[in-house]
Amino acid sequence: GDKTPKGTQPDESQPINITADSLKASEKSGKSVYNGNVIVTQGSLTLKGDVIEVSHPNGQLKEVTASGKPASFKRYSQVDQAWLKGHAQKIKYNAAKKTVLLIGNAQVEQPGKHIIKGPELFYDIANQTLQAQSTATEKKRISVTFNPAPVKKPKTETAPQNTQPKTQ
Amino acid sequence: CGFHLRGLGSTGALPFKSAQIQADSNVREELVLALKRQLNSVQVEVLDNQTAEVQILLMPTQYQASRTSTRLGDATSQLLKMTQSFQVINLTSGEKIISGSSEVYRDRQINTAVALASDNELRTIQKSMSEELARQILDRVARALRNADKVTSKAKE
Amino acid sequence: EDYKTVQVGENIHTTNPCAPQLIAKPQKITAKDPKQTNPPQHIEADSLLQPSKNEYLLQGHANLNQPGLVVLSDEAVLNKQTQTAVFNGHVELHQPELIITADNARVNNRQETAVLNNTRYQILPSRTHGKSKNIQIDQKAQQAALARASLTTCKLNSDQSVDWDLKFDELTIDNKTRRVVGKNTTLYFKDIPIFYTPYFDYPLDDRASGLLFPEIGSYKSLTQNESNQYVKMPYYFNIAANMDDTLTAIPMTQRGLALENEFRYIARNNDITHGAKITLTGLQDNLTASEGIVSSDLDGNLIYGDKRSERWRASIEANQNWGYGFSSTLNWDEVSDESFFADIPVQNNLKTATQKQRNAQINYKDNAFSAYIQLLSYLRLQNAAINYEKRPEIGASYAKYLGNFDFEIAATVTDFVTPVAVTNKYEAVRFHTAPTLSYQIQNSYAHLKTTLVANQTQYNMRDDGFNEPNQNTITRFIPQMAVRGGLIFERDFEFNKQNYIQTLEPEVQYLYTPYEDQSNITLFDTADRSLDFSNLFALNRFTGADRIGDTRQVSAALTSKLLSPQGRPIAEAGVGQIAYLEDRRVTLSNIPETDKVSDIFVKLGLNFNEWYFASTTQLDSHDQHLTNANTRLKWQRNDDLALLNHTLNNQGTAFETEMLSFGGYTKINSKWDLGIYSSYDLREEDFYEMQLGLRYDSCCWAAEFIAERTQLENGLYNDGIQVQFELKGLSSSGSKFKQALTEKLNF
Repeated sequence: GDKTPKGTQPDESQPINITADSLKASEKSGKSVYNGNVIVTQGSLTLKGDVIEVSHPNGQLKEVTASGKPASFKRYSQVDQAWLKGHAQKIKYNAAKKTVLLIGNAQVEQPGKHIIKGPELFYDIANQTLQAQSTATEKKRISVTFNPAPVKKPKTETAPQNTQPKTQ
Repeated sequence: CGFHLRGLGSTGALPFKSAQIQADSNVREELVLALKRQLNSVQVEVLDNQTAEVQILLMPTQYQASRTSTRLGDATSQLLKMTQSFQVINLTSGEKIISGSSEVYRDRQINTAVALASDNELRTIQKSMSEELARQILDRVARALRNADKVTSKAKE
Repeated sequence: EDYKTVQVGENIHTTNPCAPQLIAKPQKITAKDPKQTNPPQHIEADSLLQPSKNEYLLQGHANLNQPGLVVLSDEAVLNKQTQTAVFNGHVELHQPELIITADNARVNNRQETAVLNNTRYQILPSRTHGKSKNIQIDQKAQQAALARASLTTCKLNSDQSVDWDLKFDELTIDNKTRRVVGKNTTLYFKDIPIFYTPYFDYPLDDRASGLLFPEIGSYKSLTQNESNQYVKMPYYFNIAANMDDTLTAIPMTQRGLALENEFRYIARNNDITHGAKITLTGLQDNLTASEGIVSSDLDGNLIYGDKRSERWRASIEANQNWGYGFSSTLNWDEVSDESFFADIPVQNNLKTATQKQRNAQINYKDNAFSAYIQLLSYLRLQNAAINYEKRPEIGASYAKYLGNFDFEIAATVTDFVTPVAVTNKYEAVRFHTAPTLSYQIQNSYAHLKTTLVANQTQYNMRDDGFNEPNQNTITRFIPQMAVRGGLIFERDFEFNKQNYIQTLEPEVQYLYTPYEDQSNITLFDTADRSLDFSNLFALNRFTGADRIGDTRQVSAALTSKLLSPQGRPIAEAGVGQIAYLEDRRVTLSNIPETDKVSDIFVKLGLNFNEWYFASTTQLDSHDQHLTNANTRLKWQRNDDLALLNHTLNNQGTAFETEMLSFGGYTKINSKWDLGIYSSYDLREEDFYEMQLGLRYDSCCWAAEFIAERTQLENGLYNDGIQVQFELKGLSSSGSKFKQALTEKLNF
């Protein structure tokens, strides 16, 4: 469950912390690979996957690539007062351009419970827009399901348990 | 030449003692009356409830009058056709004895100069057609039952 | 109708070869769940772009699917905030009862509306289809409004044309009332405009028939030498489930416009059921306004009556069942002048009739007792005979049977009145009753019945000062006694390897009716009986009650029937004769009959497979020449039918008439039906009635052509040609052709 975060600063300015079973970091190439139950959080943005590769040349976070069965991500949109969630075989989060690319049986749930599925989804967080099409390897139809907002106020979601990562 | 009295040996004309007639408002009145009277005259009691041995179900009577010739503008002769479909069920055993339909035709000449006489004759013809239909139905029922008896009696031998 | 496989334009393999092709491949539509107010929308496409936060651009075979609606298109742009969707390119909108193809479409989910442009639409399941400039659908109101639309039920021909279609300025398809309503409608038949109507109302289901189809005809009435042309344009209004109305405009050459309105209803309030059909016809007749109403006397010369232009007729057929055994009927007609039905082609069967019976009656029935009061009269038309009328007649009858006894009493009080005072037609109130007691014993092979009848009659002659009846009251009491018995012999009978039952049924009746002079009694409702074999055993040789034939006679008849094993009669033959033991002094001509034996009556009948034959003949007792005969032969195999009917009356006398009628009806091929009927007078050697009918039946329309010629009293002929159009699936005017002809041939 996701509780509404209290903080008001934008995610980008918030510190990133990553928990995983194991880590292989190499400062020189500015790339570190985390393995096993990897969870990356930056403010309300949360990325989970089995393997997460983070490229942070000269200490600046550039891109995070998560893959899993499936890898998932979620982010709280202050504007819509609702969570944006998605999962796919591979998720690439570009911190600089603030875009998320989901490849492989991808699915995104936009505020208002609109669900978009397709082989490849490209989500622009700033403009909150999405692109979807087939890929060379996966030819499938894009499907969008609109759940029109129920007339009454949406129920808040149940409070999330606070899970401490096993290793640090 | 092989002729023998019909159904010699069986006591009444109909081998059941009570019958119930089921007819809605579209069945011709005279036909129901004629059926009751003929059943009565062969010692079959007409009952109103289900305790009767046999139920006679009458579908709506079809009556058609087709103009067959006209002379100087008016219909001068007509063919009358009355058809009655029926179903007879043995209430004790629940199985169907017979279902079929009987037809009667009558020709009549119409004299437009004595219209009331033709109208009067029409009603007497309709009455006798109903009686003839009732006779045909009961004859068919009697025959079906006798055939059934013949079959059972043959089976017994 | 299930859609097996379908391709737009290709022939389809559904069960009905006449059904129009489907304009698009049907889609599986999820059922609408009434409880779900805002159901989810599901869209699929090859790719998706989000130009803005709330806008989704789906490209490549977009497919919108939501309960009750499926929309296909090349491209779809959805706005989730305004809940609208715009579809472009090969748009197909599918609803359970409507398919629309369009260039583009806009769907608003919140208001549940849709707008489509450049469309082709198809109503299901009837598959009526057409084109339209644009269609606006209001889902809540379940209505679709089409601008500049066309509609047809015809299949597309190979050149994509249709046999006929209707073009509208506006057309609304209302799914709630299941009706289609059009404004400014023109019918094009093979692209030729043939009919216009400002208002068009057509039901989607079959019960109501919307636009009954115009009938075009020409019609030469008795008194004209050339015929009038007329068109009947009926409009049908389905007022309620149990109520409808047909308004017919009948423009006629020379006479002007006639209007006919027929209103029908059936209703039930608590346990009273009643219904009626009321028909009103009226016109301002220019011809009779100038020439006067024309009639013709018996020798055929024309009489020009008064000049008047309003001419009308009113008819009602009503019946009511009040419960508690009470019921009533009313069949009544009134008309402005006697030549109305001859001049105005509204009621075919009265066109040449001289009169029409009409009555109003109230009945009461309790199982053994019944009573009625009846007013019986005749609408007098051209050269009508002056007939007595019953104003009124009150009747009652009671029947009781006990064991073998059977008692029945029927009594009537009748006021016989002539509509026009005329000499030698006295009027009177007649009281007549004929209590009958009979005792019958019957078993499977014999029956014996003794009947006693006590005819008691009293006439109170009315002295209306116009004609002087010789007596004011006449009473008459005539008892009758009859004993009738018969035996039934049977044997099995084999005929070409089929076994049947043959019966031999001798029957004898002794009848005694004492003589009483009745020559002073007027004949109100009495005449000779029609020729029939059963007349041999009739208790009175006249119909009606004004003559009770005196006789002491023995009638004998021998009938043999061939029955199927189940008892269905297949053939029968009977011969019978009456032996008179004394002369008969009561006759219609007041000349006593002195023959010792009656004519011989012969009855023949066959009802086997496709053949039906029935004949009753009366042979002169001396030289066995035919005096009266009525023979009828019919052959029928599914739709094909042939009939021959021969009647001969009073041969060898001055009143001899001999008529031969023959008719046939056949389905020449899947499209053409032919029917002919004609009656030929063998003595006058002329055809006095001929009818020819042709029907062309193609898938979505049918045309009937009926030509009729009937000879009238004065030798003049009345001709009529009717051409009836029927747009199948749109109007169901019922095949008039089949009705008209089969009424004559229909046994």
